[in-house]
Amino acid sequence: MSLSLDPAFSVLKDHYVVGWKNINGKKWVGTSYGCDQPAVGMTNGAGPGNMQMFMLSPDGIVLHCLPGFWHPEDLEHELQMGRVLHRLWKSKSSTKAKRTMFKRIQLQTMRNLPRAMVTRSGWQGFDAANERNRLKMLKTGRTRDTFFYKDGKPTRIKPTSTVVHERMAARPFVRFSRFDTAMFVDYGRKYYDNNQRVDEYYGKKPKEQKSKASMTGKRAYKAKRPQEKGKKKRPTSRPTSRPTRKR
Amino acid sequence: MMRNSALILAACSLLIPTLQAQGQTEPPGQTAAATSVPERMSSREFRGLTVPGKKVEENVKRLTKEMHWYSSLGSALAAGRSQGKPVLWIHALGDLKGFL
Repeated sequence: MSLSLDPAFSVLKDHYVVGWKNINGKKWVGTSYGCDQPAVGMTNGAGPGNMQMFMLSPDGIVLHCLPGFWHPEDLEHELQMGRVLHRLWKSKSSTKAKRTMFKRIQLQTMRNLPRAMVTRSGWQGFDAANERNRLKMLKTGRTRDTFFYKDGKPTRIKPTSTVVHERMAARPFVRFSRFDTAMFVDYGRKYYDNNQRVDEYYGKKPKEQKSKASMTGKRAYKAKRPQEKGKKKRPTSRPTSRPTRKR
Repeated sequence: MMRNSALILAACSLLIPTLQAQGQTEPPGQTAAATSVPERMSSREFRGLTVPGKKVEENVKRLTKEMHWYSSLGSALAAGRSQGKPVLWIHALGDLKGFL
């Protein structure tokens, strides 16, 4: 949806060569209801397993990678940064100097992102809940890069734009064939569909429920737990009269 | 061109004091209080946006008509080499329609 809208569209048309690949069946791919449905507005970086946009130099070096959906204005911002990184890669400096500069540009861009973009890079509730669960399950002393830390304690979840730029800064000018996409897009929930029952509104039948195996969190626990037999239902309201005491 | 890019790089290196340990501190523009109410409202409005399937189809048609989409990475990189442009290579779940 965002690629076909300006300002992202005009930058793409004038300054990029474009291509695509269907990644159905890859190990990092989430599940989705498909793409023959109405589109809905989302937060930046939502659905990272379902879509990745790689900016590559013509010799196959990864300049930047954007997982999931991005707002057209924010996408334009990132595409422009990709062009700067392309110029840097083409320059005659040493590879070491280029890599150092790559890190600096990524981190500097992250620090100076427009506030509106940072706001749009908030997490969807279910993705954030999943990240908090993963944080709880970590062994002591280990950290997760999706949270800010202060005195060794996690304070707040990072905006997705920050997560993406930091992860890219740790992968300076990596060859596309060696790029660890599965690790890079590892945040939020694997199962993803944010259609928000829009299909039902437009008269389409909702697709089948996903299998129990693909569910996570509370829903999976409820679906997978064995049926308890002979257990009495708890009363919904308190009894009006007091039970008589036996003497 | 080269001079400009060199200047940009030099400016970047001067602006950045030191590379701090990643992810330990919150950048000034990204604290919870930094975003204003109108920004939050517009973000919320965008999240509530729904584009009907027909409109999405029109947008995708525009995108596929006005730009050539390569389905092989090798040919996309070769085209990038000949035109001197970077390549935007998209991994998408499903067909080209819908996600764009």
